[in-house]
This record gives sequence, structure tokens and C-alpha cells, in this order.
Amino acid sequence: MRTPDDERFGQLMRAAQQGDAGAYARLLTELTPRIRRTIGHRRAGRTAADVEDLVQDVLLSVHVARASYDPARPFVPWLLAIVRNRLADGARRYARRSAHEVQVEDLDVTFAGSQTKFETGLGDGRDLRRAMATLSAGQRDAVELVKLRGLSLKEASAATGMSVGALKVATHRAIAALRRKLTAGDTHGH
Amino acid sequence: MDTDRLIQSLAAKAEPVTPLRRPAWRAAGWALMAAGYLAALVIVISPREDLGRRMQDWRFLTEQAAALATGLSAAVVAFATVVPGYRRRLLLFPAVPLVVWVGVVAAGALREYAASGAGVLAWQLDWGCVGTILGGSAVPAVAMGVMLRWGAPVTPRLSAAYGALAAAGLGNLGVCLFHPHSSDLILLVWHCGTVLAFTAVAGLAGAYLLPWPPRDRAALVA
Repeated sequence: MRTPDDERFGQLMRAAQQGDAGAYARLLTELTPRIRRTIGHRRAGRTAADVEDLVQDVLLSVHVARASYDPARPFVPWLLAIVRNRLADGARRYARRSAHEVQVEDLDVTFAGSQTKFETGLGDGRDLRRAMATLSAGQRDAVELVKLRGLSLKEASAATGMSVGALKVATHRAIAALRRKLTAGDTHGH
Repeated sequence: MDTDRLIQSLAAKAEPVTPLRRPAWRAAGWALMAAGYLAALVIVISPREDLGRRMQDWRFLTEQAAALATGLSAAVVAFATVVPGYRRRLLLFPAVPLVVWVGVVAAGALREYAASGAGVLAWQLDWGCVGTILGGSAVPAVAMGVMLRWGAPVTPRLSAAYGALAAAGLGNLGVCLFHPHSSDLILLVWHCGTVLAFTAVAGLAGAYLLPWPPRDRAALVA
């Protein structure tokens, strides 16, 4: 049975299959909060960044699968099957990543040394975020997609519209800039 | 990357795509290709000498018709499984012809056992059967794999298993037209066994055979 959502999303996807970029943007924009909600329900306890990663993964998957949507069939089951697939894959990746992490639950609160009273060093999250904010938009995208989300250069190229060569250069320059900023910050901090 | 920017970026690449045809149509196209290959194989190797006589044997005809129905129904299911949101009850579609096919062969093997006693169990190893079935199934299986990748195999193990069952079912039918067998027990073990083993192995390797979404998504986006 087709619901009003099936009708509406189905029409937008049909237009997207015919190359209507506006309808496609509208479809993805309308789907995003629903996908986010579905993932949030099923992955309680994940960080907002993890959920957003999965949302973007679903959107990319919808993009590559859009030829498989049959306009004669309801849209929502098609979408939910993709969401389930990406959730299962995300859970596997999460488990693999967790297996390589060492959980330290018994951290000492204070130390005698003064060094621990400063949140400095290359591993400091706030410094890294500040340093990232100084990068150009292109460099930031390159680092986020290639280094943080682990996309291949071709995937990142498809997502950003930058050429593979430009992405390589942007990534290289961004890493060099981050290293300079973090090293400088580290030196000043001590 | 910001999700809104990702959406704009994807929308900018919204080139027209041709929706996949219905699974039954895709299965029909694949089966025609497989039939052409198997017909060429039978002509090149030459049909078995007793084929004319066997074509008047209702048991042989039932067995081959069931194998054909198993292959075709498995192909429809395989193509249905690469459309996300397919109905799960479709997965049972090939069960009836598969049971009929294995049942007819198993019944023949039991009759042989009843007539000849334990002597019938002294069947020989027949790796030739395995080789010919795999050879007969190879091209249809590769074509099936390529066609399944055009869809979105969100359940790759099931898609690969049903695709392999389809290819091996039709491959077995072709092989039976040029490769004689001496007993139903051999047929049960080596033909049905090979088809089921091929299906199981493909199912287990499904995630590697049909990775989805493809690692290189840009190739599909382009």
C-alpha cells in the first residue's frame, strides 16, 4: 500500500531519475531529517558526528542506487532497506574500529607534574578544531572526507566536485598547515 | 563535510538514469543469453547419443523441466533482491521447482537402491560431472554477476546465492543434454550436489562478489 510519503517521494525520485536536479535536491533535503531520526532511534548512544556520518553515507548510497528505484513501487520500503544496509555496515565498521581502540576507564584525575594541567599537544581536540577552522573550505573538505571519513579520492572527488589532483594537493597542503599550526601551538604551550 | 553541501553536490550530479527493468524482464534477457551459450555448448560438444530416447522419458523431462524452472525462478528472485525493499516471501519462489527436481532424482536413486541393494552405493567419483556443470554455468554466472551489480545488492549473500542457483540450474540442464550419467545416485550426488554446493559457496562469498555500495562510488556517479 502506498502512503502519501511514498507518492511524494516517489514523484520526486522519478523526476530525479530523469535528471531534474531541483527535484533531487528537494528529495534529499526532505529525506535527511527522516533518515537522521531513523538512525538516531536505532543507534542510541552514538555521537551526533557518528549519526551524521551515517546520514551522509545513506545519502551517497541513495545516489548510487537511484536507478534501482521502481516508480511503480512504494518509495519508503526502498529507502528503509538502504538505511538498514548502511546501519549494518556502519555497525560492523564501528565494531572493527572499537576493536583497535584501547579503552582507558581508570584515568587519574590529577598528577603532580604541571604538564598535565595544560590541554596541549598534537592530540588535543580543541587545538585541532581551531586549526581546522583556519583552513580554506576546500582544504577542510579534503581532510574531512579523505582523512577523517576514509573516502577514496574518487569518492571525495564525486562528493565535492574537485578533481582528484586538486584533492591530493588540498589534502597535502592541509596536513602540512595543520602540522605547522599544531606544532607551533605545542611549542608555545610549553 | 556539511550535509547540506553534500546534498547540493549530489544534486548537481543528478544526471538522468534509466530505471532497472522489472526482475522478470531482466531474468528473461539473462535466460536468453544463457540459452544461447548452452545451445552452442551442446552443438560444439554434440548431444548425448540417447537424447532422442530420453526425450520420450517423462521422468527425464520432468527432471529437466524442474531444473529449468528452478533456474528461471531463482534468476527472477536474484534480480528482485537487488531492488531494495523487495518482498521477502519472494525468496520462497524457487522452492517448489527445486524440491520437485531434487525429489524426482532422489526418488530414482531410491528405486535403484531398492532394485540393486547396497551395490548401487558403489558409485564412482565423477569429477567430470562437476567440471562440466561448472563449465556450463560459468558464462551464465558471470553474466548474472554483472547484471546484479547494475542494481543495489543490499543483501549480497542472498543475491549471490540465488544468482548462482539460477546459473547452475540452467548449466545443469545444458550439461544433461550432452553428458550422460550412469545412475540416478550419481545424478543426485554429483549434479544436485554440485548445484547446491555452488549456490552455498556463492552465498558465503556474496559480500565479496557483490560489494555494495561500490567502494568506487564515483564510477557510478560519473
